[in-house]
Amino acid sequence: MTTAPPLPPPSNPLSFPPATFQKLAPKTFLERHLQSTPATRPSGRNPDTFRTPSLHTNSLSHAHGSAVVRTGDTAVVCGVRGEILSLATGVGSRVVVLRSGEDGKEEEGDGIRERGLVVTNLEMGTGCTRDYHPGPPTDFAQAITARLHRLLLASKLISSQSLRILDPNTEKIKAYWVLYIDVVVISLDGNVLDVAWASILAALRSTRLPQAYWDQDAESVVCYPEVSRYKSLDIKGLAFIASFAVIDLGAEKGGKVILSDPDEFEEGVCEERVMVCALGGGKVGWIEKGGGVGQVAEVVECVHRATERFKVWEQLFVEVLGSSGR
Amino acid sequence: MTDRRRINGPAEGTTPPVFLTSSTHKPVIKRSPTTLRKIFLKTSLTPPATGSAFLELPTPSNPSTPTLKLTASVYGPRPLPSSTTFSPDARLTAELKFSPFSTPGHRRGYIRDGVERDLSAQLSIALEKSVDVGKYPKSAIDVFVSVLDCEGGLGDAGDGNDGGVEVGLMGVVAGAISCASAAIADAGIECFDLVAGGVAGLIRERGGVVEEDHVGEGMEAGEDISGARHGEKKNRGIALVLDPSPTDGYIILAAAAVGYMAARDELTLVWTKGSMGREGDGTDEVERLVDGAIAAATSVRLVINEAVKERLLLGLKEIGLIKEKAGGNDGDIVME
Repeated sequence: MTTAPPLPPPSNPLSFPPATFQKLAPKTFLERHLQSTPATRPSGRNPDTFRTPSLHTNSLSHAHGSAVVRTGDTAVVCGVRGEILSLATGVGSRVVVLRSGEDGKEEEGDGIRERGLVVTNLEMGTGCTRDYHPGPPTDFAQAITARLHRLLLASKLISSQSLRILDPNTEKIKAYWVLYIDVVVISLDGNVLDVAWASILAALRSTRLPQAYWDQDAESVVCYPEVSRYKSLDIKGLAFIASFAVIDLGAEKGGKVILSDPDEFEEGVCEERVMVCALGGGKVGWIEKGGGVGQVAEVVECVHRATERFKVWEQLFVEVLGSSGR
Repeated sequence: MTDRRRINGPAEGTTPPVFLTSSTHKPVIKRSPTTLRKIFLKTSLTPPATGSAFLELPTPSNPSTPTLKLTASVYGPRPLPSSTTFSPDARLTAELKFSPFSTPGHRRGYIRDGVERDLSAQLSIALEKSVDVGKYPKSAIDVFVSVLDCEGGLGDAGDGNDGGVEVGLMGVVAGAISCASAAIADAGIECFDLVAGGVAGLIRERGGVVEEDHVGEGMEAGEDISGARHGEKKNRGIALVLDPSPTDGYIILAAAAVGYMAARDELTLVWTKGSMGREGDGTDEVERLVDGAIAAATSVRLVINEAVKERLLLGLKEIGLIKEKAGGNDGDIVME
């Protein structure tokens, strides 16, 4: 398998060590792997095997919530930090115009989107892989960031209720918490989206913000320093992303193969991608597919695998964060 | 200053939370001035990189006490980009970046600021002389250090400073040097020696009379009693503290950070701050301080040695060069 020559062998077949073969003909390399029985990927996984995740929370001291998630050789750190957005006039000598309908009756989640109360960013310029250098984020990092941000807003996991800071006397909204969610990629071996998303979710679940109130005399927001009065965010439900790469081996060689949780090498070879965001109770929140033409059955298969994957993540979250995090 | 490549917060701007009473980390560490903190150092935690290491200073007591956590990854030797001019030696560059959530007070920006550039320069100076750059012509060796968490004391505005010299940045530099050196060794790049970072500071020994300008400090009341006896004997006693942490609550008069190559007994970096002069009894304070930092670095070196060795033996075992002795207890290893 490893030294399979592309042509029927003459007397002295040309052969390479596997690593060279992988570099010279990455697509053929992957195809040959998948044609073996049982189909095995270069990493030794089956096509439908995900990498085992691990999770640690609250290991950072200056963040209000944090999580470290690792699957295989992909590792990310996510830190959540709350800062205060004051709606009062005179802060930094800037007048903030209150929009209409802003008397505490706005739609759930709407405020988060409109005011930008959740700020998601992904940092890949940490030497996590050889192609990314410190400096402005690459197109890829920006695309992943945008996608994470969109998913976070669309999934409505964070209720704007828990981000409000009220005047204790009048019960009016005086300020908001703004959550700065920063994901730092420590090590990248493909499929950063799944891992980054899980780290964001775990960090949000472990986030405890200080109890803040509007101090009328000081005309500013003041927080209680006691750790016992810190409040966790109201995170509703769970959602997990599962990504897939699809490779077409050709009709006579086995058709299309769906690879769960592709690594860096597989991502580089496969053009067709499927992303499924699975929710609790076997529901699906978001499906994206692109890069190729396929049957609906393909997507259905991905959804099946994503719901299985959801259970793995869910169990891990329960183990680490406890059921109280729900 | 909107960054169009990133998602920005509300245009109105946000402020970090303000607390009723300042609850910034109270000093909890009760170690003797010459005791070094334990170091957790592990290599090869970023497999895509040629070499990498992770360094953490664990806190035994209070989990909310900040500690230093940083990762270093090394790429290279790889060809210099074609745009650069010819270089007969390898070019080593080091980049240090604080994560946005790593520092107390304000969030750190995404774009490298002056402090980070300065630390990056210090780091590359400290590492460059340890690498045998002549072995790798026309190559680049890139070192990336990300600080995930730090102890504060960076001299930022709003970072509780009660007088004295800030040692936070020195701690970060020393940690970054040790971690990056382990990562370079992990990458299999030929070195003359490993570099270890060490920090030492000078504190005024507590005597009731001398400390008058810093009265708001009740936290080390227990030590005051023993310190007072010293104070009677020598009015201006200066004590050396190894591996000082900003969370210790010392008022540091002067501090030094060094990059030290123990096997060659050479310094690659010396950085001091604070006022130093000649003491009454003639000991040169600078020398005492640098010697202290070297002592700290020498101990750190042992940790780096272990981390590098552990990885090397694992690698040799993988390619079958060494075998574990049959029934070998506690990792006895024989060279074939």
